[in-house]
Amino acid sequence: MSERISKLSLRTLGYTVLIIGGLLMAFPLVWMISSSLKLPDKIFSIPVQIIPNPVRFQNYLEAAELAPLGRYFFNSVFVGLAITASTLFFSTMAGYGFAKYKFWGRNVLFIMVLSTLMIPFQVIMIPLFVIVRNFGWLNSYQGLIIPACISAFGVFLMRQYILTIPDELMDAARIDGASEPGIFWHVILPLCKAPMTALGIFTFLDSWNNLLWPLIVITKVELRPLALGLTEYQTVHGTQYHYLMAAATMATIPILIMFIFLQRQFIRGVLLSGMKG
Amino acid sequence: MATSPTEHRSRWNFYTRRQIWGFIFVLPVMIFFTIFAFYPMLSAFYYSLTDYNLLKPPVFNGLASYERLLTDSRFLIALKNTFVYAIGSAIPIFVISLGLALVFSREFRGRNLLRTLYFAPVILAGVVVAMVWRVIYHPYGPLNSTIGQLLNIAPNWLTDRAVAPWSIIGINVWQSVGFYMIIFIAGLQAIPQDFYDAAKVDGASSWQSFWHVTLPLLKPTSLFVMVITLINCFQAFTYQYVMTKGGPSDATNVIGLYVYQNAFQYLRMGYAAAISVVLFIIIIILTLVQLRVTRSEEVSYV
Repeated sequence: MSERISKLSLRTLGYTVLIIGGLLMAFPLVWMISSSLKLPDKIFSIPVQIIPNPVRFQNYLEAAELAPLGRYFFNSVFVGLAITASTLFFSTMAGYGFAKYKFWGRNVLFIMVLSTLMIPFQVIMIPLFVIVRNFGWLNSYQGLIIPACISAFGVFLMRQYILTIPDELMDAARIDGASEPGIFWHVILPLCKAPMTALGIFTFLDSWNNLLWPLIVITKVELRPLALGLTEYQTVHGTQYHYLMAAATMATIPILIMFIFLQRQFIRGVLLSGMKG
Repeated sequence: MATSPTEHRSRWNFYTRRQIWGFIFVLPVMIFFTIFAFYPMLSAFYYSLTDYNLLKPPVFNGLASYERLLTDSRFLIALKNTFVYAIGSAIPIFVISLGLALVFSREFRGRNLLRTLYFAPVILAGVVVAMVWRVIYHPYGPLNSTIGQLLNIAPNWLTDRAVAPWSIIGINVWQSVGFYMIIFIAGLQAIPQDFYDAAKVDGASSWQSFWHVTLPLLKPTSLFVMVITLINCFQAFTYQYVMTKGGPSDATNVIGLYVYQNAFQYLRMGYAAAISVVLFIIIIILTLVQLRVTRSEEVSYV
């Protein structure tokens, strides 16, 4: 009897700790959204206000008047989609080449690709800047997109996956007269949807979150992606917390929506990126 | 049965022609990495041996930058801070994410919802996290007006030299545990149930089976998590740049940020490249440790 009670109370205790922990984890996110709807003097009110009163949607409009947040948003979406599309295409193509063909030097080339995973970005950042400057790509979409448009991790991931596709599928297509690029396009690509979705989410998030590279190559306001735009926004309007939180919420909502609808793929993406090291 | 020379030849042709396609498929990627990874890496080493301010071409000056590193107190502080940041983050991240994984790999009501709460910070952008926490850490912010008031303390989370590094570590832990939790859950799921059943038959308590079954079999995942956390922390930049710019007086400066400051604020490209080479060496050592460990520690369940 007493054992049952202690088991029950242990369970209650476990739940309580877990729920309190979970609420603490979620608090900054909740507080950001709530503060984005508050009057400025309610942000530091005691006790802490979770439900804003009054609710002030104008914060968003006013925040967007101080800086072209819509433009930042567009830049992030555009750059993110371009990088994701190109990463998916080239990673799958190279992954296919490495997995299914035996050409001279294949293993050496593959190891070279893998070795680039070890390079910290800060190491190549300076020469990369010089290269991009010499190409005349400072302050341009090319400068944001092209140096990030292929990922070694993506090549590795797609190769591992394509290795599991049986050769018989390709041979059957060859007998039907398909060309090698045709096999890639019509046979391999459609089979790679699952790893491509995870890699796509992961690539898009990486680009969406990236601050350091845009900070280096972009000085024009209208070319800033969100991460850079928000950082500059904070520098200029650092004490207008309600606007800051509105801007931060705006940058988070699309990712949050993606997360809610694609939770499973997100978690797959996390697991994949965990393999990256 | 012998094949005629012509037949043999056409077959050879057939195979090579096909293999050439393989080479064509990887060619764009190889060209890309040559321009945007291999060449920059070599130039980084070269720049580290020069004096270069972007305006004039680089001038070779040998190991002068590396000599200067040894006496640059700001560099040494940043190096020390980076180690504190990496180790100070890695230990709590490890313990908390393993604990969460143990909890969430069981079935219970509300599991998915609770797990989502712990995972949610992972998806946020570093810049957004830094912006929000900067306000939470405000002296009059929600942290000091709740927990601070309860404990009767009011630290200057981001402007006190002794506190600020730990405030940033706290954010890093908060944002990362969900990520490593997922990796640990996958590691736990890979352990066959038979081992636990066997331990139970032998009369092991749940604590004993954790200590003698789970932990040893989880060793590859654990080492992996440890090394990846360290590698990520050594490249830290965003939180520090957005929240404190490395301040107050370099208390939160880290190597990743100091490279940026030297290169793009002081225009000392050669010197910045030398700092980045030091960072590179640290990462290489960690990666080699990890490769060794994952090679030698492959667990076999047979």
